[in-house]
Amino acid sequence: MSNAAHEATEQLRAIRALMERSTIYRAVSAPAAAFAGLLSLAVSGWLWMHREPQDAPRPVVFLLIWLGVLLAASLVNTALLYRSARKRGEVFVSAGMKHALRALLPPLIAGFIMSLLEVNRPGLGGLNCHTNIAAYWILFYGLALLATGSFSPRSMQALGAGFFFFGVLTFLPPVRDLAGRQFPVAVTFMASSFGLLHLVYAAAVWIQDRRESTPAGA
Amino acid sequence: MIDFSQLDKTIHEKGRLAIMTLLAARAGWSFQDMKVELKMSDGNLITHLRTLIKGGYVAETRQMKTRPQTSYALTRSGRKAFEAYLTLLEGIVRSARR
Repeated sequence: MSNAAHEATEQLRAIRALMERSTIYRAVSAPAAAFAGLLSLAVSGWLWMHREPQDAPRPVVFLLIWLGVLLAASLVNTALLYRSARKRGEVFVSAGMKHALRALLPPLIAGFIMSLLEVNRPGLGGLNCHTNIAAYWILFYGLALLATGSFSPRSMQALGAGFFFFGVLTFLPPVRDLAGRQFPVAVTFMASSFGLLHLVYAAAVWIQDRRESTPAGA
Repeated sequence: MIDFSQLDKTIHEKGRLAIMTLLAARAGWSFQDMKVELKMSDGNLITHLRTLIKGGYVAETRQMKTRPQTSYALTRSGRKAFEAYLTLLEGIVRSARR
């Protein structure tokens, strides 16, 4: 290849790398997703052991427990994003992160408000409450991830779509009819979504990263 | 035969090409965000931006929020010039492969 062609190839590669770096932002790192998935499964397991009506936590406690999970997972995610930005010599609060927060926060806040209203809804005596809280969290988390679609990698868009469809599914009448015993169903919803979907996402990203870091023909 | 002499000189400079690339990827970059992303000094970035604005490739928008904020975007002719630049680079690579 001539010098000009070699230089042109390098130039195109640099343009592509800069475009990807400035437009693609992974707001949920794979190790943090694995942590969130395992923690969700552990918490779901513990809640499952208290599934009998007399043992089941009140909706407000159920909400607080999952808020704790969200907080722990967010802290781990923040620490990992910080470490990864430092490693690459980039700023932590980058334009990509600001964009991601602007997209993520409105649906997350809306979902939290909906679940708060559910807990405080008078006169229902907790009927449908646990499943509704789970359904709102799953649906709005999916919407938040989908809102980052224009600048997130495909795996994150797939995760968002997974949560969104699962969230919609939980609102369908046939699924609602299954939810005779609210609390165990809500726990199953949370374990399948925040537990399993996060683990699948982490595994998919890990496999993809390994494939990309393995030289062709190796 | 296509060669580098045919490339747009305004764009074909490392700093300005990086600015054009950022703006082609997403419009509305603030000065601060661009500075951080490209790891450029204030003086360097403003000089390149002035050249691109003078060439009609980049437009500047000033907004008064809590403090004055300036954002930048490609103009129509800027986008066309960037696309033409990429096409020419691809042409150089293609012609070498023949």
